[in-house]
Amino acid sequence: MAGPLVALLVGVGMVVGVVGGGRRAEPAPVALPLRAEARRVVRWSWGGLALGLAAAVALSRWDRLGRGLLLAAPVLGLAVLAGTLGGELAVTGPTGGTRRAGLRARRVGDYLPRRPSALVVLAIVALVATAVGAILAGSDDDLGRAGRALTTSCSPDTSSSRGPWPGWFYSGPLLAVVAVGLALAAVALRTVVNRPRLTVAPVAVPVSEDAEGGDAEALALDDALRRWSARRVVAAVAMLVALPLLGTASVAAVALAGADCLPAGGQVAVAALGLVAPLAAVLLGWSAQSLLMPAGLRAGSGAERPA
Amino acid sequence: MSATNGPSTGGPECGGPSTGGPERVGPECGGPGTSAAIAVDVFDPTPPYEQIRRQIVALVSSGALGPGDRLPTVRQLANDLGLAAGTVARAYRELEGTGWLRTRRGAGTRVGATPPRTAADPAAVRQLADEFVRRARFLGADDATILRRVTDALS
Repeated sequence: MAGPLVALLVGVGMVVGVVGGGRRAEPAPVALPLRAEARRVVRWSWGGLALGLAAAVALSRWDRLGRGLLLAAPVLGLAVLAGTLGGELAVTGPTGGTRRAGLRARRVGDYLPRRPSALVVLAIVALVATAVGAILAGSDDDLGRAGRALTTSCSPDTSSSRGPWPGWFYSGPLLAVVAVGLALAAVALRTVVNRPRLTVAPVAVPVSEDAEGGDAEALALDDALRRWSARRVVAAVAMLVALPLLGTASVAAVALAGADCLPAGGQVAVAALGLVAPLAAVLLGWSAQSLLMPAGLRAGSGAERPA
Repeated sequence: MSATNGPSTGGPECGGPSTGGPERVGPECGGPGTSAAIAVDVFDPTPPYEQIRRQIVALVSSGALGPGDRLPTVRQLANDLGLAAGTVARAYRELEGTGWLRTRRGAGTRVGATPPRTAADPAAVRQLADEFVRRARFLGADDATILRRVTDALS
């Protein structure tokens, strides 16, 4: 029942991503060496995505109790983060005798997609709150697996257990992976901002309009690439948290709704979990769309510097 | 600040100090905040940190960088210039020590609110005055007129 609804919401998220936040990086026509260096960054990131997809598929088949499925999307996010970080680290600094740098201070906020980033922060908070709440409310299942069941008491003498429940058994590993992912994302964003500018090999070109124009294009490409990478980092974090949030919230809501005697505040929790699911689905759609978005580094208006 | 601070080589990127000093360049080198740029010649006998220090002083003195303008982080500038972070950090440290820059946690490094004024080079001022007098006399002005015009200009 929930499957088609989730698919519909993810689809809506992708449409929102394409129509609203899905502005593509402007094609940046620049000198071939620059484009080659930029493509290296892009290739790293796509490589991370491919590796992540393979790892996610392999992981989803592990553990019949669903932990592999739960961790598949976070592992995909981790791989994209690692690939993006690798690409940004691969940008080499200037090596000529005379090195130039603008004095404009670059900040992470300059490159982040604002609204999706805010949604991702909201999703992180929701995931941590859901996971911690589930860990605190969970109890051992019939085989003694920690936090895999929800036990409710209708009277002092009777109690019933329902599962699966996203307690420690599921949320423990999930929170560990998410923590690693967030740390990696922080490093990746710092690297996106602080890495050297894309530069061509130093050549003795006299200052001219053409040369200045060429530099403007190089700077545009540099900024576009940073924006693309930053968007990818946010999308990877969205992937890291959105699907687990969707799964955790859905499973918890189903377990709570089916409990014989809901604990105090149970109805509120069910309603809150119901609100979280659409957020996660929309974010997931945006993430998928962003991760598949090309970097837009194709040749443009012919401003290539002659060899 | 005289225009002899930076390395003498110019180039196409970000308007390096092709005339010897830092220069204000187009938006391609700056964007919001500042469009100023600096250049470092690693083969110049002047140590890179001193080249950076001198060029920032010149940019502030010329008004290309205003009070409160934010500068890049040490790591950003070091990476963009292909230098060790310690080199840029030393330049920033010396500029902070003399009041040209101030660094506050969370606010980054900014140009000081009231940067110290650079002491005028007496020889350079004398050279300018000599040049002015020579050209004014060439135009036919007598000494009294020259003096009066200088006084007018000062007021």
